Amino acid sequence: MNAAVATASPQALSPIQHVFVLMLENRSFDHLFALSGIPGIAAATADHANTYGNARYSFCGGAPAQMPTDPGHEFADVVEQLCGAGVQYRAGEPYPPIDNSGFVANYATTGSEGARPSAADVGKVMHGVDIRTQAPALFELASEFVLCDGWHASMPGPTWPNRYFLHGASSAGLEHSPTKAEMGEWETTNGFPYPKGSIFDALGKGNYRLYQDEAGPPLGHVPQVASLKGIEFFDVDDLAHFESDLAARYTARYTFIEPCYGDIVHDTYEGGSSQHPMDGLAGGDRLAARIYNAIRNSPLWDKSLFVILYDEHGGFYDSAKPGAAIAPNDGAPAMLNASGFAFDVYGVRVPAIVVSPWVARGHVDHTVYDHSSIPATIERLFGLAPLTERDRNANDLLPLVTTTCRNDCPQRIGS
Amino acid sequence: MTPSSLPHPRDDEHVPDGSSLMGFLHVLRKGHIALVGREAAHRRFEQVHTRAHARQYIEELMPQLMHERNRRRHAR
Repeated sequence: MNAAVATASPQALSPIQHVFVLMLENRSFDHLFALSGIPGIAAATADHANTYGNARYSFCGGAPAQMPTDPGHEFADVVEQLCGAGVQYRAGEPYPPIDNSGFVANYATTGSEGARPSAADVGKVMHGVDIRTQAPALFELASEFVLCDGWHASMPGPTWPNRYFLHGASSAGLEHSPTKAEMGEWETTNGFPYPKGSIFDALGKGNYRLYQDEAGPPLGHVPQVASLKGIEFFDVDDLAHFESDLAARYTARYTFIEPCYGDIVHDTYEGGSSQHPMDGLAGGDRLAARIYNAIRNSPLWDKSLFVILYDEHGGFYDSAKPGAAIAPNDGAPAMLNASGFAFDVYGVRVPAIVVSPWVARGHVDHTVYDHSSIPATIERLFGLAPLTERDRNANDLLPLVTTTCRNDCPQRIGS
Repeated sequence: MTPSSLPHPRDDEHVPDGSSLMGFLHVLRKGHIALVGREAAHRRFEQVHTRAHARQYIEELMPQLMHERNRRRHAR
């Protein structure tokens, strides 16, 4: 542990000694869980609708395994999705009023992720999956452990800044997918620099481990976390080693796992395990089960907390309105902030499942979280100081930890 | 690694700037710099313009990067 930042008091006598996080891709809470039948969730119904071109598109079932085209999820897209067709963010002004009315209109008209859908397909962003059949392992985990229905992406935008929030409670002002020029600039610091460092810096080498799913096409085996300053491609292990590593004196406090992203070159993402909307749910479902089974059957099970997260909503409809967020206020220069966004609003709601023998069975947690809740949990668990104002003020997962270790957790899930 | 040599309809498209693909390519370049130095890595990266180039780049670099990853893992 990095002693220089270990200024806070660690959570006294917590049974949790190892935190594991799997971050998947681009699904909203309602898209995955609204039709799950899990009691007590705050979720979309058929009364929730968007209008576009004089047609009304109600939330409903029947989401396809793979979307015909990739819904937009860059910053400007999400402004439209949350605030209505044609609405734009203006730097220096408050985020426009949110009514979640523009998901269909944005899907029909944006070209930010490539081809637009056919007229017959524009309503597909309003469709929810049948998670019992399309992602049965995730359904089982959500039913057996804790499903969070108040977890939001950290900012209303795409993958990269949201993943940076997970790793450092900030995106250093980045609100878009990075450009060649910006990444060239990061080369001078040997990676994406956080003004206040990352959670990996705070933990120190030896106290964290990184893995990536080795299954699927080689094109998808590029770990996004290796873009960070202080993290090398070579620091990320194949997940093939995970099970044996857990069995052999595993000491890492925090383990972050990336999926295989599939075919990233042609934007099909096919063959991956990230659950990207262009790929499908099966690979990620198998990956979640594989990780659960490895932890469950390891010596670490009764000291573990495993969180399954989605980086952002991927353009899919969600009925929850993102609320006000605390800006990181970490002194990041304005040069990455192309929109002048104040980072004072959360992104769209995403699914999160918290798995541990120390959490209640079948509990639905309504607490508001964002990805900074992961560093906040690690910091408070292991006595580290917060990185930014965002994680300092974030809700952590420790109130979910009960005083009793369950003995009714499934020994294995999935096939 | 088995190169995915089948042509793809989007092979001739330029790699879009401000995209996840651009980000992932820079992650690979960062790893390549650690292996061969900045000048050689940049020289190779400057040849990447299209999606077909990006695929070739990934397929060429990935075995080297994986080899070094495995070497370091065994050294730990």
